[in-house]
Amino acid sequence: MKYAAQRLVHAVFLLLGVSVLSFLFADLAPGDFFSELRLDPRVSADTVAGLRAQYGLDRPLPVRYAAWLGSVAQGNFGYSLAYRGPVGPLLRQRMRGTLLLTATATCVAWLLAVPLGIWNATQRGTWRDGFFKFVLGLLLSIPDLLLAIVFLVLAVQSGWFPAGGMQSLDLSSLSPVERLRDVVWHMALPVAVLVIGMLPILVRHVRASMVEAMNAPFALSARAHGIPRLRLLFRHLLPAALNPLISLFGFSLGTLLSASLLIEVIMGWPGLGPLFLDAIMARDFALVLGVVMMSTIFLVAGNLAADLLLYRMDPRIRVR
Amino acid sequence: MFNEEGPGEPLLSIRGLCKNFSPGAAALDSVNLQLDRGRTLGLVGPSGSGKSTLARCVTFFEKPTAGEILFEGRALWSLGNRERLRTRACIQLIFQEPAASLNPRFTAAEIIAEPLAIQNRGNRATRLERACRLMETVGLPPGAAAKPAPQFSGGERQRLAIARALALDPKLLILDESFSGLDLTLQAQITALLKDLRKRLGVTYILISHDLALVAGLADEIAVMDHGRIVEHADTAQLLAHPQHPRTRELIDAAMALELP
Repeated sequence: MKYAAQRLVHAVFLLLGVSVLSFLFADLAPGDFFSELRLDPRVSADTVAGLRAQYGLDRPLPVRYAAWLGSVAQGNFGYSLAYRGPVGPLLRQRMRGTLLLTATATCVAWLLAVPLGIWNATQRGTWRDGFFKFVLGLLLSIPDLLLAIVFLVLAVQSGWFPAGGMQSLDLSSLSPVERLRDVVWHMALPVAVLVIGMLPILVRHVRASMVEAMNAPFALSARAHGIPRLRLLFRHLLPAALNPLISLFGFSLGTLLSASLLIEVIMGWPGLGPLFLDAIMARDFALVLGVVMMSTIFLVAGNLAADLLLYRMDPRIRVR
Repeated sequence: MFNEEGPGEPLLSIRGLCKNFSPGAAALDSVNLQLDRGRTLGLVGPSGSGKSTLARCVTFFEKPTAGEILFEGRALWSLGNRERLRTRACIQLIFQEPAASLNPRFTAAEIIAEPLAIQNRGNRATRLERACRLMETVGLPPGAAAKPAPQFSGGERQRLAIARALALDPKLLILDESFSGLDLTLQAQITALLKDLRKRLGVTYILISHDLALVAGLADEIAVMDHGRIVEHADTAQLLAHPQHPRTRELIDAAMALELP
């Protein structure tokens, strides 16, 4: 419990640090939400200055940061100038789409990667291993972006999958089962892109940890006792290979999220990605910061979960 | 326990054993060796002379390229699966680094009970009870049963590895450089432990080492290996008094040099 509290405090400080840095960098970037107005000859400089003062953009940085922190405490995450409302509800609404995509992709990728990696490790040194390595390398070298575009083209050409969106227009007329099917159908392509992007890395890591565990002297001694293959795998090898994989799990959550933002924009998925892009284009500072903080929270939460899981699984960490 | 084969049959008999890891490079070159029950054989030789490969062939880790290994009169590599499992239990190997051969996630009792579970002997409770008795046998406090392996000291882990090997009532116990990493006091303690076990349980040992002095105190007979061959094999006293092969003399000189002048 003490360990969990300690990690939680770490996480909070990390988030604070990220927010301060984001604030600083955003402040360094030229222009703000009202910069475009200055180009319009009909709007006087006084009006722009008045608007900036009205929304508090002219206040010094520490004051603005403090105001923002206060807003975070209320769950509002600041005020979006483009959407003319608090950022919090916007984030919450879009977060659902991103979470659905990322969580599904993470599950699918890991469910595929673990058995593939184990199988791959047992094939070490055979032609199958070499062939598989080649295929994975090929997959790894295809950028997510290209993959997404190719998938989209195929979807449009074949008409098998919808080319964008999260649900059909006539959703309200469908039964719950059909609605679920509809969402799954819309999700298939973006999830496939994310999984294919992540899979090679995961499989290689699973394979490497498994090979290392197989070569460990204690695995050798278990074999000297005549251990059956499955018992060796589940009782000795997998637990030994698990630690780096749990850490990788936390990390993969974060990576998948940032990949997801990009894929969402290309494939028209109503998640944080398109919102983020719009916010940057409009220089909607609070909204940009909100999405950045959401991603960071997600990443930190993933790593925190991995740390706690490690703590539960490995007696050695508890001893320290 | 009764002996089906009678006292005349050697426990281990190796005939013309060859092992090539790559063509042309022989790790073992037609090795012949016989070991009777209850005897202790010291297997010495410089690094790379094939001692460990020999041990790995006897413990099913390496398949010999040619030749035969007979254990209690039966050829090891032609056994069926079930027989093989039973025979594996009879021949136990303690590794060069016994400490690393303990699963760091297991407690002491689990480590010792695991081979019993693999061999389907007894139930959970009897296995744990046996683990505790074995810890006593090798001189570990039985209260340490629930401690995870990494919390033991080097010498204790060595004892743990021995206890685990003993759990299956092996007839042949092979120690492959198992003392090399220990300080002299611990070496003496483990040597005393092995002598004690030999007296009480009648285990047959093969002690592998590059250090003749270490082995001479325990072994009834000594075989010297060089370049994959056994170049000399005699009773310990005779080998030390009248070494025949130059390699043996070198090893004796090396051992003497370590003694105080």
